[in-house]
Amino acid sequence: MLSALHIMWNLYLNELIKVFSKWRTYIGFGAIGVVVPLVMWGFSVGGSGIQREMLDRLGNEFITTGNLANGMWASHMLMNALFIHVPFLITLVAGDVVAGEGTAGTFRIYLTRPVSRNRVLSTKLLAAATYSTGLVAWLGILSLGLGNWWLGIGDVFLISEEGILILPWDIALPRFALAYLFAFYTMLSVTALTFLFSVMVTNAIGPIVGTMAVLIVSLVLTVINIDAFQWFQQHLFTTHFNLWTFAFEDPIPWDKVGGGALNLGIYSAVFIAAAYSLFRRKDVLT
Amino acid sequence: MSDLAIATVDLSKRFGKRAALDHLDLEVPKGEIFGFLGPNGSGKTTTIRLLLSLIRPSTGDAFLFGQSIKRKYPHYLGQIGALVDEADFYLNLSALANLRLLARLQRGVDEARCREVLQIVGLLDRAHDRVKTYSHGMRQRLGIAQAILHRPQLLILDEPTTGLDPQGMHEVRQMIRQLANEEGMTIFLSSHLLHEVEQLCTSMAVLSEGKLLVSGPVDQFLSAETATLTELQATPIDKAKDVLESLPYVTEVVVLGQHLRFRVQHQRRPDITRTLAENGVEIYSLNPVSKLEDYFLSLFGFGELP
Repeated sequence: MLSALHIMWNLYLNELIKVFSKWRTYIGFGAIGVVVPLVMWGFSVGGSGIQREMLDRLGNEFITTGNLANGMWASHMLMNALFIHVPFLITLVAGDVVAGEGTAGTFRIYLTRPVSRNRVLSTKLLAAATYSTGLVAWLGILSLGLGNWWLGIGDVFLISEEGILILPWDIALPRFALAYLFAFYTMLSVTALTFLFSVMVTNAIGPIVGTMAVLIVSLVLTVINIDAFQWFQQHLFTTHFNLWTFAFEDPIPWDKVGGGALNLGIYSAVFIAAAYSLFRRKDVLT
Repeated sequence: MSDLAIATVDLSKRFGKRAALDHLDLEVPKGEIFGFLGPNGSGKTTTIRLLLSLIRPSTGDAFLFGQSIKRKYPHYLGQIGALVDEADFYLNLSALANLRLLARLQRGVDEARCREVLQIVGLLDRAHDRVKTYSHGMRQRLGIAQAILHRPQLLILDEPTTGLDPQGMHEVRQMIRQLANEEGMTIFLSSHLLHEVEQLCTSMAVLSEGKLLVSGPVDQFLSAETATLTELQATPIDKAKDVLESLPYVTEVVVLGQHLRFRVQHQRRPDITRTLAENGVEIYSLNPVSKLEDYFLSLFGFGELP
């Protein structure tokens, strides 16, 4: 009998082969590969206008030298894609990982092998998480690399409700690493939700539509500033999609990071537990 | 139970209020080529899906080589190869890549074995082509290749010759015989093609509306003593009918367009041709209808010809 670890590795390898043999897998990487250079080009030709607008907001209290709209700052701006755009790209693949096999009828050859459903599902989840993490990493590498090369490296100038924060570039770099770590974690909750939908249906469109519907409704509820909503807003998982922004505060509010991470972790655990429970009992009829 | 490849005990499956399989008790001895017959919707594919743990039983249990299908870790699936419904694959991958995926899940299946089974089903020269470029027949053959990849002791085949041309059907049937005779595999063959079951199987079971109607050795249903349904093409047909009806050993004479159908014992057929010729009837053909088909039709109530 093959060892459990060997079986898991083989299953994981199989899932990666399946994922990366489909064109849809490259849509997300391609989209980011197009959007990031376009945005960087936009900043390169309109950067002075953005800088003027930022300084106007500050009045005449600051004297600046150099370029505020640098690569680091542009990369920070691009991380806002983590709220809607990256989740959508994640659903394209994570939604297909289980449901796609139902649509194709391939469970009939794959689940009739001497491996447990739990192991099959675990490696599918791992493959979906690998893809999601890879996509976020691609966004980070491309935006930071291309931004710093094209627009130049410099201090990050951030304006928030709390005030102004200027992070010197050598401090900002590890903060970016931390922010992307938080982003990976946040996107895992999106992956888990899509994965649950993927287990529930037998076509790959359902998980995409389902996840996006949940995200949009939840995000709308998150941002609407009505007293009646406030009591549950803090419990919505989309409220904590801004986890990465805490990496750019000084000092880093670890209590908020912990609270947000706990919320997202609980949601992810519930989504994954429900997916396992359903998949174990799922009748394969296609 | 040690002599049985498959045993089902009170096995049932309900989809909502509908019973797809109703308290099935079935035994398939090791080494048999077992035919599994029944009209569409009779529960054949449901049974196969239950045996392969693709669906869960509502009640009852099934045992493959003595191991319950309710086990958490389906080790018994390592002894089973299956082709359920149409053969579906990862279309973006080649035939060889598909087999490699499956080979990784089982012990003792290496690259050489993947190529060997492709050779057996005649697809080795297309091994590197994506499955999406394959015809239906080629996919069906690849389906058999994946089923025998790990040298199973039990092969479950659900309509394996569907969509194949006559040559392909012949090859698959030969392959089934070969696997049973040379490799000692037990074959569980679900088929609509009664002559296929008649040609290949040693035992059979008939299912209707989720219930087992009969089960036993095929010979039992093909007794030479019973009158065989026979089809005659002759002219003039009215005269032929009159002559046949006058013969005491011919029964159930019915006109079907330009043909006549009737029952007669095998050994009486020369008497019929002689008598018809003596009465000026020209005979174009006189053929027995498959005995199993005859039995199957009578079992489902439309053996009495329209």
